[in-house]
Order: sequence, then C-alpha cells, then structure tokens
Amino acid sequence: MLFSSNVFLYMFLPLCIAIYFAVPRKLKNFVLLVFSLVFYAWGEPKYVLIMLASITVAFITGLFADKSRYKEKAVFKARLSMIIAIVWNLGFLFFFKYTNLFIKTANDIGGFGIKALDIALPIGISFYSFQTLSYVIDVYKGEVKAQRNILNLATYVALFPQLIAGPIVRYQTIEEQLTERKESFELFSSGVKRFTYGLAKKVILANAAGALFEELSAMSNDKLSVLAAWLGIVAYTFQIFFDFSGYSDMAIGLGKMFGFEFLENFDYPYISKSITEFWRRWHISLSTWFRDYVYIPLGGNRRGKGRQIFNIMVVWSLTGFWHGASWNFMGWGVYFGILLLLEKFIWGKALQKAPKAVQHIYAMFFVVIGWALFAFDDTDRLINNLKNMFGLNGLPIINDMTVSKMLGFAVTFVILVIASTPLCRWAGSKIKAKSETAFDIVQTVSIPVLLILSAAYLVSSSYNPFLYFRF
Amino acid sequence: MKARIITVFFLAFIFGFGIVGLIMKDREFSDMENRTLAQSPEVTGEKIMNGEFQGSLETYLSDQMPLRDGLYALKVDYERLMLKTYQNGVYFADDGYLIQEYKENTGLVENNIRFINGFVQKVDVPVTFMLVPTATAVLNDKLPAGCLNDDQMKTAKLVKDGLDEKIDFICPYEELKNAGVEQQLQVFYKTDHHWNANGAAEGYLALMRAIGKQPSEVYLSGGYDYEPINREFYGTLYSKAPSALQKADRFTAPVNHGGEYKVEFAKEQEDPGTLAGLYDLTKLETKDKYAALFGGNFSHYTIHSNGENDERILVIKDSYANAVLPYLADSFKTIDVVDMRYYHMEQQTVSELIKSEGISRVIMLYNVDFFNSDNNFLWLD
Repeated sequence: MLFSSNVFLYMFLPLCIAIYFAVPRKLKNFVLLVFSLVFYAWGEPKYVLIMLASITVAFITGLFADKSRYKEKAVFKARLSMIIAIVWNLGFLFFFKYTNLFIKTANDIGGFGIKALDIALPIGISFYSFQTLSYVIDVYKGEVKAQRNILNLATYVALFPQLIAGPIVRYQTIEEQLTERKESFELFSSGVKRFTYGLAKKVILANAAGALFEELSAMSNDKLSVLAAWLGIVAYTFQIFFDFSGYSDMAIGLGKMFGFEFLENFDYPYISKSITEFWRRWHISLSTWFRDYVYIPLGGNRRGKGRQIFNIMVVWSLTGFWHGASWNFMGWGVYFGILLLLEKFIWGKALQKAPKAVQHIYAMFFVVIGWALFAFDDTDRLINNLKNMFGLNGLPIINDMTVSKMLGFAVTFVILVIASTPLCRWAGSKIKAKSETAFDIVQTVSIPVLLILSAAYLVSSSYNPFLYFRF
Repeated sequence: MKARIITVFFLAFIFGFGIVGLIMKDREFSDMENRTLAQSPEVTGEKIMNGEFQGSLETYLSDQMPLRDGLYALKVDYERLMLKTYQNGVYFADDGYLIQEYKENTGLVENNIRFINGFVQKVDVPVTFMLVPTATAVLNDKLPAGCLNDDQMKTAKLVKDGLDEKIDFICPYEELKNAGVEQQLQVFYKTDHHWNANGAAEGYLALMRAIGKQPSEVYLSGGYDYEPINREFYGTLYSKAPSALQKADRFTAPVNHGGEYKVEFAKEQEDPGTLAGLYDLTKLETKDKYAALFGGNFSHYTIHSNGENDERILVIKDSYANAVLPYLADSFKTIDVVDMRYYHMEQQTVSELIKSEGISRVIMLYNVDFFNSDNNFLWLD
C-alpha cells in the first residue's frame, strides 16, 4: 500500500489510529503489527511470509548472537549466529533482487539461454533486510540487547510507516521506544505536520516534476532541444528528491503519531557545496548504514591510502547496486565513489577556496549528471540523453516546444527550488521571532490547505472525462 | 492549542472523507466526466491474492470520493494559479475560451480519406464534403503563448488534395474567421468543443453557396428566434478543465415559428420520444445541453419539414452537423441523417440507402478534430 493512496488515507489510517488509541498499552504493538502486515500484504499477499521468515530468523539469530550468554570459549557461537543472519539476509536479498539480472547478464555475455526465474521483488526487502541485519550485528557487538519478545521485534521490522521506502530505522534508535514510548497531542500534531508536508511534496511537487520528465524523456530527438534535455533531467532531479524525501517525511510523521521518533533522512541535499557534503545530506540512513556496516568493518581509513581507496570504491559500488537490479545503478555508485575520491585526494581543498556559487554549481552539476545515470537503465538511451544535453546530437539549443514547457512550468520550478532549500524554515523562524501568533496561524492554516490540495491531486489522477459520447 | 487544532483537523479530514464516503450513496454515472463510475468491488479470496480487489478498491474510493468534482476543479485552479495554461488536453485561452489541443494523426486522416473515396465510387449523385476547422484553428490568436498545436489547415489541405475529384470540398475557415474575428461574433462555445448557432449559420451559408442554392427565406429575413432556447451552459471542455473562474456559455438554437417539423427515427428503439420538432427540450435540464439538438446522435433519422426544396438530401455527419441541420431543415423538405459512429452493419449500406430512398445529393459534414480522431469511416460503404 502506498501512503499517497485513497485506501491508505481514508480507510487504513483512520482505522489504525482509532484502534491503536482505543486499546490498552499492552496491545498497542500488536495492533501496529497486525496493521503493518495488512499494509505489507496489500500489494503482495504471499510475500508477507518471506518477511515473517526474515523476522523469525532475526529473532533467533539475535538471541544467539548475544555474546554474554556464552562462556569465553564458546563465543564463536555468537559469531556463527551473526554469520547465519548475514548469509540469510544477503542470500534472500540477492536471490529475489539480483538473480534475474545475473541470468540476463550471463545470457548476454555467454549466450547460455538460461530462462529467467518467475520471481517478483518483494516490496521493501532492501529496507527490512538491512534493518534485521543491523539488528543482529548490533546485538553481536553488544550495542543493543537482544529482543526477547518476538512481537516487539516484529513490530520494529514490519512497522508500516518505514516498511517499504525507508528510512532505514536502526533497532538502536527505537529499542526503548518499542516498549517505553509515550504518545501525546504535541507529538501527534507534529507528526501530522510532517506527514502533510511529505504528502504534499509527493503528490503535488514530485508528480508534477515527474510528469515533465516522463514527457520529455519519451520524446524523440527531432522534437527535442539541448535545453529541453537539461530541463528533463533537472525535472527528474526534483522528482526524485521530492518523491523520496516526501516519503521519508511521511514515514517520520506517521511514526510520531504513534509515539516513535525516527532519525532524519534528508537534510536539504541540493544546497550542498560538494559531493562529499551531498552524501552527508542525501538518504542519510543508507549512507550511515554502509559506513557503519561495510566501510568501517573493512578498515575504513585506518589501513593506509590504498586500502581506503579500495574501501570507498567497494562501499559506493554496493550503495549504487542497492538501489536496483540494473548495472546502471552500480555505475551510478562508482561515479560517486570516484568523485568522492577526487574530492578527498585531488581537488577538495581547492574547491573549498572557490567562491561559494562555484561550489554550489559544481556540486549540482555532478549531482544532476548522476541522476541521468540513475534515470536511464538502458545504456543507449542514457548515451543519447547525455549527447543531447551536451549538444553532440546536433539539436537546436532551444525550440518552441522547450519554450512552451518552460513557460508552463516556470512557477512550479520556482516552488521546487524554494522547497528544496531551507528558505521556508528560515522565513518561518523570522516570522516566529517577530510574532509567535503569526507563525502559529501560518503553520496551522498550511495543514488543511495542503491536505485538501493533496486530496485534490489524488482524485485527479483518475479524473478522465470522455469528450465524445458514451457507447 | 495549536497542536489540538491541527490534530482535530487532520482526524476530521481522514475520518470525514472515510466515513462520508462510506455512507454516501454511490453515484453510478458522472455527468461531469461523461462516464460510469467504479462501483463497490467484489471481495473474494482469489481477488485478494492476485491484488485485483486492492486495485478496484482504490479506483472505487477515488471515483466515489465525496466532493470529487469540486476537488478536481480545485486542482485545476491551483494549476492556473501556477500560471499553467494547459490542462488535460485543453488550453486556457483569452476571453474565457477553453480551446482543445490539436495534434494531426496523419495516418488516420489518410485512412479516412481512402474510405470516403471508396464510398463515392458507389454513389452517382453529387457529394459535397464540408470540413469545419475548430476553435483551435479559427481562434488561434486567442491561444496562450507556447501552444504546440498542429495546423488544422494543413490537415484540411491533406483532405482536400486526397479526396476524389467527384467530391466538392469546402472548408469554411475564412467565413468563420471573418465572423469570429473581424465581426467579433462568438462562433464557438467557450466551454464546449462545438460551434454555436452563429458558427453553424456560417457553415450553413457556406454549404448553400457550395451547392449553388439560396439560403432559406426565413434565414435571409432574419426570422429566427433564439430566445426560446437560451440556457446557461458548461460544456465538455469545462468538464476537462473545470475552474471556479470559468464564466458560463449560453446555449442557443434557432427557432422558426413558421416551421413544421417531424423527425422520424429509422430504429424505433433509438427514438428518445421526447423530441418536440427538432429539439429535445428535456436535454436543456441536463448538463449536456448540446444534446438538445435532435436529442443527441443516432444512427439514422429523417427530418420532414415544410422546407423550400423538394430535393432529397442525405447528411453524413458528426455532432457539428447537429447545429447546422435546423437551418438546413428550412431549406430542404426531406433530410436523411446518418452518423457512422452508430450506422454499423445495418440492413442496407449507405450507398444502397441512397439508391433505395432516391436521394439526389449527399452532404458530408465533419469537424477537423473529429476527422482526425474517429475510425468509424470504415463502415462507410
């Protein structure tokens, strides 16, 4: 189920809230778990079994990964348990997500003619396998206590706000909240605000940008211009940010309604002045996960420059590959790995001395090109698009179609730019400093306005009048 | 305080839409969208397992959403506020005109030309083909900057050049342009994709000129009364891009007080039974007021009148012709009207009909947009 759907907004959520707040404390986690399973099963009823299997494995391996239960000589058992958890999670992830890619690649190279498997990717598997994995590893490292109640662990893994699109909530973040959280009006309303902003980001902004990208990227070269090629990929740049961060906002907001506090996942990535900074601000829960569970275990920067370069490239290849079962995602990761290395060892210092505007342009230029790598999983289309952007296909710089689109989207683009920066927050704090009441009014009014507008957009996706007659 | 207001509003919003949607009676048909709406989906174990139920439930909730039409209009107005000039195939043009996007579908146009040429080989009476440009071409000065329409006059030329020499082709572009732009008459509805009574009158004059006849006496003497049928009207383009800012059109039709008419439907089951003369006044109470002209579109009917000429004509047409036929009815005593969208596999083909009914002249009347998008010409034989 998607947050931005009518079923979620007007059936699932009200029902879940009503029952959750009606039952006594002891049953609250159970209610969340049941609703989460329904939420998950909505799209793929059978894959709920895979998730339940993963939860059971995490529960058992978690219990046995606790070193304190063994005498010194038997500690290897804890290690073994952790390894089982790693093999299980990565095995499942690889099997469901990448098997068909490997088959296809092997066929393309060797012409083996292996038949692709009839498997669909269980939704959210990339997120929840990373969560269960980090849980068991953290238990092994002694950073968290093993959860002795499988209901609580299942609630953590399946918790619907963060189940299918992140953020990757670590067990350590909500270990205490699972049993000790306290819901309140304050927290609930703060959750409502966050959810509403996220919903508006997704259905009003991301979809508008997405529609422009879709339209332009489907156009043949004879209709395009250089500027239109850039316009398309810039639209994609906005789409992916508002889509993804909107989803994280909704997750964080929903968490708050039920008394959970997740960590932030995005911190205005498009105001970055370098690629290094961009990755501190973009999908934070993923990059810190790779840092803590891959980069540092590999030795990080403590084993010499050569090893550090290797580690960085491993981390970024995997980060890229995590995003999808297609080689362009790995290419996208490698692209950022190289840029990060170049910043670290070659031009990082010089960049910092450059005027700020140059730093911003530099960072966004490479981010936008990165999104081109990300957006096109077909190499021919990618190359064609890049050639269009750099004027290598002999396209006109600009044409009527481009002007038309630019006129139509001008105001939307201004809003997209403003909403990607802390400008609103800054304006809010200015108003607040002047008058607390004015701020409260603006903020309070923004919620119904955005909710109703989002509802309008949700309805409009199916609004389709027939001009000529009914048959 | 603030926390409470926000919380209460949010809960009222999700519970409100949820509960009202549940208890409100489901609509079967949307006048606004001119389509049937999704109804409560059937629950079975199988349909849940394959996800069909989940998908239908989402469509159902969306279709039966309380305030659905109002919410859609809100979205359109928000986008107009964002200075978007295009919505769902419609441009927001000057003076409150909603104008349809036009993209030439060359292959389809060429096919349609072929079907017509094949048809006229079997016809040995004169054939006049009138292709009417729509507001997109006639009022293109009113379109906002940056529209990406194809040129309807290019399509018209394609048709003109492609049609068999036996066919007398006319395109009343200059006439409409002159009336609509020079004389500042309203010739197209602002909220509908049709021409109005003024535009249709221009079409009538052009047609009469082409077949070498004088317009009727009542027309020349200004004897039409437009007052009896004159209603507020929000047309099909308004449905596509509804907006609180949109001013209503007036739907009008010519009434000749000296005229005597009888419309005879070839198929009894098509007869709406509500026609008074040429008009179905019950349709004036519905959203689609344009359907008051003859009650809509039907496979075949015959108009008998006290018109001036005895010559028996056949009009093969789309809905643009509906607004011209009231004028034509005062020029010709007997007019057969055939709509190929509905005239499928009938007892006789159109060419057989021409012979058996002793028809001495064929008029084909279509607008460019229709000719560019309809594929029922293949039934023409």
